[in-house]
Amino acid sequence: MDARSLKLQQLVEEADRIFRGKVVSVEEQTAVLAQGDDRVEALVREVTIAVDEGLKNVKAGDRLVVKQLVSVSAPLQAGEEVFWFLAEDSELGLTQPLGVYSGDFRIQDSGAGKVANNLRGNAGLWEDSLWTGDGFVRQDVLRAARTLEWSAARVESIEKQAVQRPDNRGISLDLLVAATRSLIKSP
Amino acid sequence: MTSRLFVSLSIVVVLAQSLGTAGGPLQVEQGAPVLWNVAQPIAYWIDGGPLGQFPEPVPQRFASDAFDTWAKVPTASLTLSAARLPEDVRTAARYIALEKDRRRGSVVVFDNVGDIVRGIYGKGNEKHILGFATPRLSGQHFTRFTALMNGFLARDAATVRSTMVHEFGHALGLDHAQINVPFAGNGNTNDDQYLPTMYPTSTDDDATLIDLNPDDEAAVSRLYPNAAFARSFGTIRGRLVRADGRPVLGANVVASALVGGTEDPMQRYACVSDYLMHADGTFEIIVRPGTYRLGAEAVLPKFGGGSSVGPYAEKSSGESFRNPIRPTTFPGTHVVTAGAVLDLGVLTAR
Repeated sequence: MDARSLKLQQLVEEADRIFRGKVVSVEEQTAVLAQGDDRVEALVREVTIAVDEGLKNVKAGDRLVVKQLVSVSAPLQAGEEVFWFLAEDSELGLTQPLGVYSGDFRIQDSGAGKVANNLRGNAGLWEDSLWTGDGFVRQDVLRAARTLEWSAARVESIEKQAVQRPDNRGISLDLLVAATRSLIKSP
Repeated sequence: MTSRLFVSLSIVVVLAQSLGTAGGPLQVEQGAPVLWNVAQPIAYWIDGGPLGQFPEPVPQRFASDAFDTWAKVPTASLTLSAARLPEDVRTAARYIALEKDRRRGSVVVFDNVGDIVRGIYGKGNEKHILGFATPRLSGQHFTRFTALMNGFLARDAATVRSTMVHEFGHALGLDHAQINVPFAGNGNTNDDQYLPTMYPTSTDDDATLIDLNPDDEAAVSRLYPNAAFARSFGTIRGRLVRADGRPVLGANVVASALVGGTEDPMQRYACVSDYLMHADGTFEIIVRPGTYRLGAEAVLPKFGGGSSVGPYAEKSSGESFRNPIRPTTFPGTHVVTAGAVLDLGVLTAR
């Protein structure tokens, strides 16, 4: 598939829902999809996600059921922890992470804390360090981290990580969350 | 790219015939590349209607030209035949119905204004997905494909045409190729000619990706060789291992031709180590006759998921990204002649 790499700013701006959560179940079944007068049976994947942290249009504690066409969906298993920037459901009730790959982050424990990788290897999320452009304001990111009542050490760790080029795998989940929150405007 | 390892007598027969790859096969089953049965033409239907700003018959011509680009490779045996689909597919529901309909066969669909992409991928994703092509297999062969081009993003002919040639390469069973990475997206359009069409992403000047590069031609010719293939290409084979002897799974091995002692960036060919998933680190690079220098490097982290290079890069936890090797240039140069297999034995990566 030819899908564009999206910057974090685009993901935040365009996503309908942003959240971190655990995949409770992944079930594939034939479903009837309706669009106007058109009706078609298709193999659809229903992903149930228990939301641990809601950042945009989702709250912690929500239970989301996301419907995806199986033939175009990336592998996913129950028990996985994801950080998703989700597109708005289509008329058929289907959706995918924004940009398909860019908005689909999988969270793993690196042994030194949780890290997040999207299906693009985090390429192009932001240029150079977080502080040198792309609309991230250092104080906003750190303030976002402090509102989460993280420890001083955790906030300091974000500041150090942000000066590194994010072209490699394993962006700290804390950095991703803080940077994302700093861009979300209050309603 | 998916695969299942399964040992059987039939695999031994396939391996005996295997001469390796250039960019690599898209899918591996039972230790062998999945191919089309090219004893007969690969037939496909082309959707009617416009594609964004391009009125019929322009996108239809782009599509048949894109397939012809592959079929005209002089060392490949590929015949494709197109017929006009007796409808203009406009909705996601209709596209899904076509995708499911095995009796229909292969289809190229033009999503005029992005409605189909939006219907399948959610609202907003029509702004980010240029197109896709998915071949489907039965047993060891591909039997049909569905391809879709997104008209919402069809802003210029070069991007549309290069996307088609690239996606149709996937439809024919080709994987991505990681070659000449420094030239991609560096702001310099003059060096984009050195990027193969099956490079994982677009670049500064997509027009250069419409024409095939030597690695593309080698890749399709290896999968579907004609009589001229063995007279035109040779093979560099080896096993890539780590210092402790463990095989390297999913690293990128590149052969660069030397002309007058200098590497020719146009004549670079690649193969992912253990590309057939035998767990032994084997690579086999198809090259034009000449003198070559060999190197190995990790598959880049950004070339995972839908941009994956090789069978071990689909997931961020894949072998390609676990303990990646350091860039390694192997000593010496190697002369390859047509029809010959140059076996370098075991090569140790850094």
